[in-house]
Amino acid sequence: MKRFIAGLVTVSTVAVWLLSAPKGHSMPQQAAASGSSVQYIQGTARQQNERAYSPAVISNGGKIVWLAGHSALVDSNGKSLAGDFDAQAKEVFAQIDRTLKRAGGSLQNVVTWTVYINDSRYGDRLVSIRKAMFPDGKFPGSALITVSNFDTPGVLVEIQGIAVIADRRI
Amino acid sequence: MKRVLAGLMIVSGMAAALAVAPGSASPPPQAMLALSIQYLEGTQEQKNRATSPAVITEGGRIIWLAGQSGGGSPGNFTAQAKSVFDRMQVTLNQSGASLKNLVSLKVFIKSDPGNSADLVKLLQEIFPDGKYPASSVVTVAYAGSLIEIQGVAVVGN
Repeated sequence: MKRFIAGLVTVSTVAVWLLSAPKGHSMPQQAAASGSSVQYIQGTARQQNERAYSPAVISNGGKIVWLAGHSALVDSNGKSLAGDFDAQAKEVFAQIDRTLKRAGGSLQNVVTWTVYINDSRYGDRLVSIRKAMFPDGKFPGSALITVSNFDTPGVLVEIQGIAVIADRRI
Repeated sequence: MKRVLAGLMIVSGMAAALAVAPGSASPPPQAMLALSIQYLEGTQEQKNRATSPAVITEGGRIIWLAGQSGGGSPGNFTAQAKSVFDRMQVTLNQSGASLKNLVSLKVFIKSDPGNSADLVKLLQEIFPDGKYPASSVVTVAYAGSLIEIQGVAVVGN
């Protein structure tokens, strides 16, 4: 039995070595990144249709974009969005999309986000606006938190996300 | 026999370590993917808030930190915030990283005028080169500590 265990340990070591061994040539950085993927776990009808989030998103490799919290008191033309939740939420999604485009991606690459609102009554509005952003149903994982306030007075919503830019979205 | 088994396991462990070591003659693909890290430049407002709009990483090891709250100094926001970063530093050091490796911060503070300005000053001290983690700051109900931060760090292999 002990000899059998020792044999197993040796076999597994060889397996580990084979798995991590180079395939005869050195892999440039780009090649190592290829084959990266993001997979969306299909949620329940409620998660998909009513709350617009995936229960989990699985990424493998790729470029990770760590986003700051985005909030918007004015739109891209400088028009005030004070007191207008829908307009702020839409502008936040547009801002995140613009930031991600600078990184070579888009809003569609977000894999998870934390949404902060300071009035829980806006939760349903937020969900319906973000649902429209993902017509293919590939939603990021999400947490929706009601906070007491934000750093900047007048802000009604702030979203901090993480995006993964990979070769394939499944 | 037990000694042989233990010996074998040590040898196996070494072989595994050698196989994945980045410094070995022909490193495996995973180790070849060196960490690349890029800080997107922020607007003036984002700079004033000591945050990058986004930090882009590829490869490396990711350290997912628990939320760390500030200790001691009751009522002293700045002292508590410093203690948060001191504690994060200890945890990051254990993982071969430092505060410089932080790419993302979720900051929860007790709502109090001036608190966020003190936080910005502290972030400017910690990241004097302006390579700030991508942060969010929200205020929450008072829960003992005046500040809690949950961070993510990325460090090279």
